[in-house]
Amino acid sequence: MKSFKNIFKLGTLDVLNLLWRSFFIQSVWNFKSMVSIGFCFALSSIGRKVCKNREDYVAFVKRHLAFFNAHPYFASYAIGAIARLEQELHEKDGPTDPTTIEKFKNALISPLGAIGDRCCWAVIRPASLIFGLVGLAYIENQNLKILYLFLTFVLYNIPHIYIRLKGIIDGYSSGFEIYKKIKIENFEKLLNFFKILAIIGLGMLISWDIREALTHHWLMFLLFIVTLISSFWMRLKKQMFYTPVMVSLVLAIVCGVI
Amino acid sequence: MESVILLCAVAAILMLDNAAAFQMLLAQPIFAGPILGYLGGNLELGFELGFLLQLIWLSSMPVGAAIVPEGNFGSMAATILGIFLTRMHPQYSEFIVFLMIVYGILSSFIGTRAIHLIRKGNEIYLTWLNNKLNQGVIISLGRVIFFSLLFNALVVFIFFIVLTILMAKFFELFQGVLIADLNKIGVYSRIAILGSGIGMTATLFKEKKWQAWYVVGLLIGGVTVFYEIL
Repeated sequence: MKSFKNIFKLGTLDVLNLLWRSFFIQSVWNFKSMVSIGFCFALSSIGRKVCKNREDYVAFVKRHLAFFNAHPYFASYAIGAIARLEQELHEKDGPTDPTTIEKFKNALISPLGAIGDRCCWAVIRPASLIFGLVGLAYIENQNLKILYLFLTFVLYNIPHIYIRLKGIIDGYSSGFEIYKKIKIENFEKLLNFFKILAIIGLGMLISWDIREALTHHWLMFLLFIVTLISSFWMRLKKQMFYTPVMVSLVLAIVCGVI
Repeated sequence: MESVILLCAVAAILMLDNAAAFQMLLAQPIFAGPILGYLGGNLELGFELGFLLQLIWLSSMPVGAAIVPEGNFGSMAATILGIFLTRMHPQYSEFIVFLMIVYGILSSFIGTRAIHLIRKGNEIYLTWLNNKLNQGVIISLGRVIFFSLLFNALVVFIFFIVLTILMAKFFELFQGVLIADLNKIGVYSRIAILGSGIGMTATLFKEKKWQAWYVVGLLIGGVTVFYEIL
């Protein structure tokens, strides 16, 4: 078991500094090295502390300017782990050498990208946005709508910042062992909560839309049902988003002209 | 014109939240729409366009490093132009909603070009940093991040301004042809987008074990609507 001292060689201010810097990981996204400049920027505060001389720091920056890509939120797991490995490398208390760090960083690219896309882009973000849409649909008062949007903002950013912070702390405390924590199963409860939220929200939006359509004209109700089913089917058939949207808009023009 | 410049500047800053920094949802149409609507003096339109355009993009995911149509860019461009056109031609307000949905989709592809340009431009920083490091010179990475964000916002701002001016001029060309009856298309397009957006989004949550929750949602929605009618 790792000692408390070992885990917290990184102080609270260091963790907060890494967290703040992690928000800019994609700022200099480019086709040659992807997020490497942002990643290097996040780690540079640690680099300045652990590198003993100028040459050492130049080598550190060069090492981390090499190709790297990850999901922006989950990249914090790599930031935490690499921060620890760099510390070990410079303090010579571990079996780490620069090549191992580079190989380890490359090995993290795929799992961090995959879990990030599956958790954040496929579940948490759409679920939070559906939560926001439900509020905008059901609430009439504009001030309450703004308040509801603020709630949506908080709902999304609690798990967002939690993932970033947990990534840094877990990454730092685990080092090479971090791959054990980058598993979708570890986020199951969080994802289930957001999935249920999203599905209830979609159900509520359908109810609201049916009401909207029926209070206007039967043709609107028909249009709603046809576009709902056809878009669902087309998306299942892997059509790009614009095909169902364009089909729906053409149907809207036809209904509007009739 | 001043308000268009202001809106484009705010939208360019909000676009930083899209991918370059923070990613806290502020660039999403549901947030950006009302913010731009409030600043442009038409909060209601901001809410409406934000709601509809959000539904369109909800099921699109930026997987890995793939370049997808920039829905957030398209939505902001559409909200800015929508506010401008509604102020000039309030008689077509419903039809403008339809036009802005179409324009939002088209400009999302232009947004992809803008993002591509920014990312290509960012390669200059990498080359420069590596050259300096080879000479043994250390550059402040914070400064690189700052200038990159500035470049990012500037490119997006220029795209927004040019697009808004061009499209406003283009709309003027059709002044004599447009009739108030076209507003009907706007009303139908709203329902069509609601159906399409929900249909596409439902594919993200299609696992069998969760399907019962749709019924719960429908019931909660149904009871709320019934309560409203009563």
